[in-house]
Amino acid sequence: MEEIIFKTEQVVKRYKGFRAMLKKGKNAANALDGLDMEIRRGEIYGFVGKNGAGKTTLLRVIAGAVLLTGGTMELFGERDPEKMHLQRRRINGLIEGPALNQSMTAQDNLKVCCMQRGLDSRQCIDEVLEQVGLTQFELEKRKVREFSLGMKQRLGIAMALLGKPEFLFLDEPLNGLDPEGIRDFRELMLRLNQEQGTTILISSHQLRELTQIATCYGFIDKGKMIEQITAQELEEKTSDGDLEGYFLSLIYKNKLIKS
Amino acid sequence: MKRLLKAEFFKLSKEWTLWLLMLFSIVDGYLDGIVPVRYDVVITGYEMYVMRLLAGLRYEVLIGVFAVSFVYSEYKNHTLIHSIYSGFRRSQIFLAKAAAFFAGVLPIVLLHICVATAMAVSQNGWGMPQNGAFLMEMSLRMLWYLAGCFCAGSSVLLAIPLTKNYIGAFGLGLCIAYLIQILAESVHGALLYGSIAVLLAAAVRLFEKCDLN
Repeated sequence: MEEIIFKTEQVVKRYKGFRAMLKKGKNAANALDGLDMEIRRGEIYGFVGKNGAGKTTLLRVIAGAVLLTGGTMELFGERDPEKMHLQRRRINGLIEGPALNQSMTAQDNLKVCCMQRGLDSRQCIDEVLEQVGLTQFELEKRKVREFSLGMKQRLGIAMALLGKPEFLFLDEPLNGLDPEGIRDFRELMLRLNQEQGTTILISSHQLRELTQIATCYGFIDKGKMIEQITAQELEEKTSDGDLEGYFLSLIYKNKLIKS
Repeated sequence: MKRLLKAEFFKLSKEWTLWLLMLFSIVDGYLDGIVPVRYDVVITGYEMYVMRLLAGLRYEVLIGVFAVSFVYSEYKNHTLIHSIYSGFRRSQIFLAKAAAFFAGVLPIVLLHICVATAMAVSQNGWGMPQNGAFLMEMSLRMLWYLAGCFCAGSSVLLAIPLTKNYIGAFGLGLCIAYLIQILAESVHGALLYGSIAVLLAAAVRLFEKCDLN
């Protein structure tokens, strides 16, 4: 069995702040509420949940953008939060839309990331641009604020691919992409996984697209993992691999159990 | 850390508010430097130098504007996350950002003094004997002025993760800076110098513990 590269044990994330405290309910501010999760090397992990279930919060925790309130997280075997930053060199991702400096050109945005990672910018930029289908002309002349949503999304994905990360996590990567872009993205993910062995975590509401590439799934609801299954197990349980139907039935069952 | 600094200084070179504020500083210094020429007033280099140092108040506002544009925008655009993915500690990320920020502050707050003083010196000379005592006095005045500017910058850097919005960071930061300067002038000057380190340390600590969302 492949090694576990990412693992959480009973992780809790409670957003602080006055507004969070005002919300009704005892645990209203718990975005993650005892989440247990495992991702093995080489998987394409489809992360599925309703709006507000905690998907983006988990990705932020992986990225290091937010700090855990409780529980433990393990990244490439490292549990110590003080040393976690060293393992983050092996990851990259896209959370809730591309993080771009709007007043710089796309090439400058990519150059900054290359400098931070100590990469040869010319080689790396050409490589990732080719992978996401953005032409050189657009990058050199135009500032990011002039890009369409789809172009910004492609650029965000390009930035996530810099440095050939071992673990790539993507939050709603298909937002704004045209049908050709969606097809290219699908092929890119499969290529990265098969040729480079990249482990990929994709959080998406586009379940039909997810079923075409994911090798396993995690279903989250109200900050907790309801179930983790492989694509094969999903096929066996649903006979036609209907992810949407299976997900909705899980949510309904979860509601019944809680009530 | 070298890689981080290289990236931050690259971002600084692309920051349009830096160039705009530097231009403002040059124009401001020029407009003051031209006054003796236009109105046939004798203002020596030393007098112009001291006058420009007293213009510090409005330059602290510009420091706040620059901080909000160069530093706060990274919080707003979530671009700080790329530094985190590159495998650096949050304290390293913050200190690299602060280093680039203060490097940008220096030309903004010094250009107007250089331009106006140079113009006055070329017209009327320094007006003081240029001995050791003179140089010491000029240096001490400059040090006090820079301490005030750095205090303002540090206050806004602290206010940014506290408030996480433009107006809050700008307003709170400048309020903290002005309070410290009033205290420093009425109690002891060393307060101003000490406050820079305290504010920066508090800002680093806050940045380490805050959620970047």
